[in-house]
Amino acid sequence: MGHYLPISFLLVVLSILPFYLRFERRNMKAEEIVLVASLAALGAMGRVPFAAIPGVQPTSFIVIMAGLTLGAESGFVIGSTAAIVSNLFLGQGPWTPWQMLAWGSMGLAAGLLRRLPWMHRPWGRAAFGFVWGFLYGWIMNLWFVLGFLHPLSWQAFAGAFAASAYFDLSHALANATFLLLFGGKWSRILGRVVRKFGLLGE
Amino acid sequence: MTGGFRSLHPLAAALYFSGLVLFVMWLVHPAYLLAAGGCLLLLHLQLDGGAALGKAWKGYLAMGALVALANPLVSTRGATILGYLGNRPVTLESCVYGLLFGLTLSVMLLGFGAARQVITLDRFLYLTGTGLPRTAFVIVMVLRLVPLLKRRLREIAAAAKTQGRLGGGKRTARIREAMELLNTLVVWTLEESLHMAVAMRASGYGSGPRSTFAAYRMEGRDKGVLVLLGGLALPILAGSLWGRGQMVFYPLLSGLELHLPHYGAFLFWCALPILMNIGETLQWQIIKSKT
Repeated sequence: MGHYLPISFLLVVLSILPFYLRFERRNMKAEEIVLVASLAALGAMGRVPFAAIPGVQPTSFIVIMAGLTLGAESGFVIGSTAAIVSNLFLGQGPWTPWQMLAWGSMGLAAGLLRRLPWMHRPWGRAAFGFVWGFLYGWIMNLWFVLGFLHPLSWQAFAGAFAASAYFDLSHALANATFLLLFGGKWSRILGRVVRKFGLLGE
Repeated sequence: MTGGFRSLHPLAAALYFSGLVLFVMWLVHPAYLLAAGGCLLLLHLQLDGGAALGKAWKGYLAMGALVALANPLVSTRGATILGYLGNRPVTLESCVYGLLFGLTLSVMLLGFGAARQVITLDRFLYLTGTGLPRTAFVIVMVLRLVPLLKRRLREIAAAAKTQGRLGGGKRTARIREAMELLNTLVVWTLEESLHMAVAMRASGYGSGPRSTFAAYRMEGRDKGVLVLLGGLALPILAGSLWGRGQMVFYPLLSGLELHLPHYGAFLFWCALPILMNIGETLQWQIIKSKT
């Protein structure tokens, strides 16, 4: 009856773990490890300069740009590490693994799609960020709906999605705005670092 | 208090809390949840006199209440209709389901709150470092970088202010200004991080396996607790797979039958930290009175 809760929790943890195991095994230069740490730190503290502006945070923007330049695997690790570290400051809870999965998948998706030409156009990137603003919110809704509402019905999902729609929309709009205005600039900054130190991603 | 359960080896503490959270998620039954919730409240009192709880209890209750309210609103299953909301029936079964799962969430949050005090940051890093050394290393670097980046950001903002580039004003203008600061910060940080990597390699990073500084020794007591936890986990897990400690909600509520040995094992798991703390206090009293 109530098995959704522990099973969904275990499944999420099990889906994050392989990325970290791979990160441990992979042959990486010291530069790449420090770069991963720096981008995760930027993502974790990205909320600070925006504290005065509610509903806007550049963490997702940073995670997407990291995935685009460093590739899918590093993108996942950067996104999920930013989530776990910001929660070390803000407080861990049952939502931590879901947040790690949501931000990790955002970086992963950006990395997987980075060879597509439209991901290098401002509007393509903005559309990607807009979609992921909603996907992030929906992944975070899942832990609540799957774990705590029963029986699962379309009303349960619709209700949760409607309740979070305002936040998801402002997240999506913020992502799109950041990517539109600053995506090119960050792409140049990160690309230069990658070239300068011979890190060609994966 | 600093001794007692708090001084347990991180591995045993992590096993204890993972088990606790797993069982609480699994065994949604009033008697089980009340036992776990009561023990965790006592543990909070023992750990810091309830200071952390004093700040967080409203949030824990609010999240539990949200679940309790949301379920009857979205679920119409169940045979006992209490009334109608618009034209949707509200059933007793979905209300009870919501209440119990709300309680589950609150108890889980209590558990996370206690775990945060017992498995402090250094213990967390020790645990991560034993299985995932590179990940732990990255987390340490991030933990160092976050305050450093905040300081750098303040410096950049101060410089921008003297140049008259921080005007404030409209929302869009403020977002743009904050982002300009972030652009400067990322260039500075990435440049610096590469110097850091060069310095790391110069001091021998990657020339062999990483050694770790382990401040925790597995003592006889820790091994004893690990064996005890293992011995308790087996019957609890087996009983839970057998269906003990779980209610049936739909279409009709089942009874609340308790299988006492299973419940006893679970209760012992929940009460273990409290018992350890009480034992420690007693022992201290005895030693003190001898001198």
